[in-house]
Amino acid sequence: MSAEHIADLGPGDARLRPNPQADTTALPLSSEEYFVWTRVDGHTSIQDLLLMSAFPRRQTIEILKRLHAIGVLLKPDETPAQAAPRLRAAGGGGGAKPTPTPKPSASARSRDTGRQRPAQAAASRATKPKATASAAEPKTAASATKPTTDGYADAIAALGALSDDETAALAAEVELDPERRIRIVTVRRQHSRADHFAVLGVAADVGARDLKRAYFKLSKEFHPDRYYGRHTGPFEPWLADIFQRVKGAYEVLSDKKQRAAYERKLAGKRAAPASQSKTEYAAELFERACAAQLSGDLDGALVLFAGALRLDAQIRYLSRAARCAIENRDSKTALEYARLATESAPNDPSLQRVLAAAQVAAGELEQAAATLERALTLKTENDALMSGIRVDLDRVRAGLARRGDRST
Amino acid sequence: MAHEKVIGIDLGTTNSCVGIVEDGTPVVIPNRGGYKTTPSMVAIAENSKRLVGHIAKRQAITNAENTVFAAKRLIGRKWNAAAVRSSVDTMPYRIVEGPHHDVRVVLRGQVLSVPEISAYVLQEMRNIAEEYLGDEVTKAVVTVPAYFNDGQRQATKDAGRIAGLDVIRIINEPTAAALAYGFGRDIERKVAVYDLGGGTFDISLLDIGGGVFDVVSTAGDTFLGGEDFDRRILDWLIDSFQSEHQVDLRKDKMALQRLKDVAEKAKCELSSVREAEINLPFIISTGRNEALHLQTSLSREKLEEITRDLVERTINICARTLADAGIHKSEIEDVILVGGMTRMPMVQEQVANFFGLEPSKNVHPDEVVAIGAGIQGAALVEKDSDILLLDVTPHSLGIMIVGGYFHKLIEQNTTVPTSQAHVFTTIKDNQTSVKILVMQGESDRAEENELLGEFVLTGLRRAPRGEVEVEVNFHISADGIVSVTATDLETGIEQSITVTATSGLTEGEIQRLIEANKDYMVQERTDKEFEKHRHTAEKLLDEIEGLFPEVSAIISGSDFGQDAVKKARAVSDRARRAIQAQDGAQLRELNEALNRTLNMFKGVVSKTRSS
Repeated sequence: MSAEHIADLGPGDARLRPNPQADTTALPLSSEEYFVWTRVDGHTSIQDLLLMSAFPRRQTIEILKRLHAIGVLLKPDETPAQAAPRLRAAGGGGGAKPTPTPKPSASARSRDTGRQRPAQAAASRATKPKATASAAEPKTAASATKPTTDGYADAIAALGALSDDETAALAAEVELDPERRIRIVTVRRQHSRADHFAVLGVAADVGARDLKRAYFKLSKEFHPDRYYGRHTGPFEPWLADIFQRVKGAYEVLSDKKQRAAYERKLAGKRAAPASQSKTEYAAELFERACAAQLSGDLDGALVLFAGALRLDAQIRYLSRAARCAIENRDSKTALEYARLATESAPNDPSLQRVLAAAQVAAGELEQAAATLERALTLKTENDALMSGIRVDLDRVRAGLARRGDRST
Repeated sequence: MAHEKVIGIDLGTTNSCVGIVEDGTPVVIPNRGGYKTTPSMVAIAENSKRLVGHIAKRQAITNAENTVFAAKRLIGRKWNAAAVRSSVDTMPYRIVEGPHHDVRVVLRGQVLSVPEISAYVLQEMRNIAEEYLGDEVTKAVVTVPAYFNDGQRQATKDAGRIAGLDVIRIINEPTAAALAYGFGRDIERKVAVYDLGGGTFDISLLDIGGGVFDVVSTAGDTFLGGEDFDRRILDWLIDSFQSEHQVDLRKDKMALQRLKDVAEKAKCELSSVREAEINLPFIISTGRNEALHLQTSLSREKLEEITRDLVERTINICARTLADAGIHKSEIEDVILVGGMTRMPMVQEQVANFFGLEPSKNVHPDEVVAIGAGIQGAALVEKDSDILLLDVTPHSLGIMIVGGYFHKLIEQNTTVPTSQAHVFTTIKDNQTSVKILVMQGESDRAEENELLGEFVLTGLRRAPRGEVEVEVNFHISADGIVSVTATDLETGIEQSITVTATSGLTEGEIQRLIEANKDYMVQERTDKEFEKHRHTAEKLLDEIEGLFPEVSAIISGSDFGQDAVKKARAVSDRARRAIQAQDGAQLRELNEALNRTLNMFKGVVSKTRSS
């Protein structure tokens, strides 16, 4: 299949790759340009990029051309060093970091592991990544059969300056294809400075469906189950981190409220806070009440609980407020809250237990015993709770017995 | 393919099923009898032989006290658990307390742990798969109900180990059903799995697309299932009988058992017919040497009337689960029905009504879970698999904080793997250590949750309270293993544990059981050997027996002849005794003697015939 030539970019099946020395956050990029940049991973052909971007073909070509012109994208035969002048002109770094090499040859490769001789590496490019193996090749069979578009050493060179852990990881004996390793290192770097949109590689106005597709695609690439039973060594925690990051980004962006808050934060950090609904404010008051209770300010906590309950009489709030009132020796309030809770969910043994505790606090031992007996007839999978209720009941009965002794 | 086959096992309360992906196609493996499901029953016969599956079921009526069914209700539970208490009262087999507050079952004097019983069922499923594949199987994915806690999941894993299986993953039954539903279909949609089984109800919401199965939410009611429907029919039968005859059948144990059986049967029938006849002659004898018969019929309308609220309860749970997940029901594009109860027309109607669409008819309710487990097994070990399951943690995890409250760090329905950290401070002046109690559950009160493990972080600086900060970090791996780390943020000193839930068996006990079960496997093989020798012996005995009259007539005249006939009789008798005693080794020796005898007989006969 011969690929069509795309103006100024080369053949359609050519694979552009990001310039590792480009600090895109420092460049004046539009969101469309940034989006297209995030789709460039060194594996995707220009034709596929044009299909993936969802922008009109012409626009995507123009964006790619501009990204190349400012040095953030490299053609297959280009080195970061060749693009450095363009990058500097655009103001996107390149000069600041120690530039690796004039060519992706000897000196870049020697940084790879330090154990590899240039001549060996040069030979490796002619044959297969197999030859690079002396230092860095995993024992996986797949990598030996699967040709890489570039040599492994070239790919490593293209990464630019390597941190110590990256160097170690790329040289480690792991069951991962060379491309995979390069990809993991690249993505991990991107994540360290990317926002949620960039992590998922989506545009700022992305819709629910495309957001999900991006999340699923990346999950399929990085979820630890995709590497099940394989020795991934130092890449193992990285894969977990990458998936966690992707998942976190999706969780925020797929939730309307969270996404809006996040977008506000991205936009101006101190944008006016959004208005709260009554239930949201109730939740906030409840949190503050719990904190006050734990710090020992029971009176303050009860005022906050009351406020939260006036806005949203949730069972969870009622039960916690009743506990707090018991702690504050305010058995009347405790009983009121506990009764309300048990009335709205009569089959929850946990709430019956709260009611019984309030009854004990109010000195109503007979009622407490009856409440606990009723609680024991309710069905629950929670065995810890049931044992707790049994213990409570024994205590209440012992209390009743003592009271009986005293009165006789 | 080089990788090892992984089977998927649906270890059910009443029936179990095994599936596998073969050349990219998921299949259910039939057992020797050709059935795709095998009863989850284990019995010990009179000769102390272990019986599993259909054989165990067939002898259950006559050997009820030595036949275990529904062991799943007991697995991984504590002795004082409500489910165990009710089983102790209702099960015909004896349930006793184990040494670690766990549950044991007594069969013919043998005390067996519940994982052991389940191991026998898993072993049977493994045998079925091995026979089908003609190859050894050592890896499996096993399904459990979504509500199972860590202890129950661990006990199920232990059962696998005892059966010689490495359980590489435990997945939830409704999730497995969704995998089976979506496998090999290029779909992108949100689906609901409505699973109404014998004892529990589960609803799971999944987002499927591009081979990814994202579990969004799972919820349910562990006390709502087919048994509740049976009970409604039972009550209706008893009440009608009482108003007619003024006799309360609840007081007669045997009558009650017969009524239970007939109630379940009627319920099943009414899924296909509109009216079920109920006929129980001599249901109870009255004082005056007379017996009363129960003869009535139950219409589908009546059944629906007396059980409508149960189905409505499941629908309410669906509505609540959707609301909690922030999904509108119109977004759900397909509903998958799982579990025997979903055969009931009213269930199908109400589900269709609620979601506004006809439930999917794409899956077989009895087989779908095992198929899904097989798919997940293949997805894990096959490198070029196109399936990824994004599963969630079924229960919230957290630690106990001051005041006995529970602080959740990871909420239920969080996609795994996941990590979550929170900073806590000291609560007393000059506090130099903190105790981290790792717990699982949904209650606000720590003590009402399940304690998974605990550890202490020591060596904190003496300082006013609230000044020293400790970060607690929870991590759940993709296979559900929980690890917790506490770090003193000032010094960087840390302490951590990997939480291993207890299944009620110690590691030593599990090892012993694994060994014992290996012996059993050897015994089973010797059984097969014995069968071979018995076959040979019986053939030889038949032939010898056939020649006896003729040979006796020819040679019994001589002393030598009489002696030879006597010896032949003795050998035959010993062979028969060896068959009865199932003594394979002796039988092998005797077969040689029988062979010699037969040759001698044949020689005698041929000589006289030819002369």
